[in-house]
Amino acid sequence: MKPDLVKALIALYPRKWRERYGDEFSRMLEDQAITIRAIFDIIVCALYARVCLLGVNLMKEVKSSLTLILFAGVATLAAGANLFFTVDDSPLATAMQAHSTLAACWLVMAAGSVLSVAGLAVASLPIFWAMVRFAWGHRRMDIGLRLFFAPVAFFLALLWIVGVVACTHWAPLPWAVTGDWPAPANWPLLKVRWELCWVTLALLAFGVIGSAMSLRNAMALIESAPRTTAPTSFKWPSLHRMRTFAFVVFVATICTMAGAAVGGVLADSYSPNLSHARLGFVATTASVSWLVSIGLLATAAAAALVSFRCAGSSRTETIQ
Amino acid sequence: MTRSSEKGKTSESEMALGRFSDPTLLVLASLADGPKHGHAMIADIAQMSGTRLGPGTLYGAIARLEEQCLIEPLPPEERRYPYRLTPDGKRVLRAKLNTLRQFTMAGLNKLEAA
Repeated sequence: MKPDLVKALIALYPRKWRERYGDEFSRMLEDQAITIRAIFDIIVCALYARVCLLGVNLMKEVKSSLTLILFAGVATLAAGANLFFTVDDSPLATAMQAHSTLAACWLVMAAGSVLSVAGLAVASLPIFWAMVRFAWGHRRMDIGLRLFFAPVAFFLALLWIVGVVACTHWAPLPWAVTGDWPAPANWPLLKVRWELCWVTLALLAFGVIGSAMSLRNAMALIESAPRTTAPTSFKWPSLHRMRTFAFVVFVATICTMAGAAVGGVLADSYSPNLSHARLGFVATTASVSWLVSIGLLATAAAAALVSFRCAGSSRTETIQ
Repeated sequence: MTRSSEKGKTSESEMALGRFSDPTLLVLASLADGPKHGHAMIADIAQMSGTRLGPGTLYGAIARLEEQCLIEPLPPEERRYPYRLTPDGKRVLRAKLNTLRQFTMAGLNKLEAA
């Protein structure tokens, strides 16, 4: 192969990989004949290496597989909530009652979402509980505080929403600010609704990002904890379990996505006007809101699939 | 972070055998008779199995095997890095080939009995 082509192909690999294998790989490629098959092989393997090196050793450990499942679960939850609130109390719900195929799609979406959340809960709750026990057994307040960030953050967000509903008779959710529907007279002014809605979104974003960082820190602290006098051991789940959970979340997310995609097309064919009605997230149209959900579900499915594939390179470790 | 025992380590390696895709096994088998660099491995594997590994696939397998400490690089010769099996690599390759032999024998016996 020509040196320029070799250089371009090697540039597709992640930096860490290039530093370790770049020189010898380029030496070998220089001796190779140019074939489409070889180029395709290098491109696919380089992309795979990039996926596997996302983050810090993303695919090396079971905990990374779990992180991806959690990400998939959060994306599925966000997509499901978006679909639900786009349809809830809207003409789309009426259209669903009139068309059994649309209702069937909705059922598929609901079943997929429930299965996905169940898979996520079964995968993560025992680990979360084991981490709490580890923190308690070791009297590690720093780990405990990080573990409780997520529940506290979401409790606060819930408290905020309930508090606003109690005071204003309006839920500060991004689907309920404005749209192609009449706002009840007892709701706050539109400007106030927008402001309260942004506070909710900020709280949710703070909760999600903060929880991800806190859990990641807690995992790192558990790994670096002294192991000699430990009263409680911590065991990551087995490889097989992680692969099973990832597979369940992947299948469930694909089902939800298929239901959403078919449902969206059917809804558009039954009532084209509804697709352009502002029924979605922060006053977007129903079709945009629907597409955002499908995008989130596709991302979740990809994360679950990568988690499933790469759990194969994980190891079961015991931290004492 | 500890592996509980030597027994635990063995069972982990045996578990790992189940997820070996062909390229990693082919690389291990190619190195069974001595160290080789990438180009020689491709030629050897092609001769041994009729499978011509792509360069990306080969180095993907090399990276995985090196990460699992089943192969190790030797000092370079004109920018070519030969690799050789580690003791763990030899043990894993032997175990895998024995499993394959048992599987082959069982399959052939069933065919003959039918």
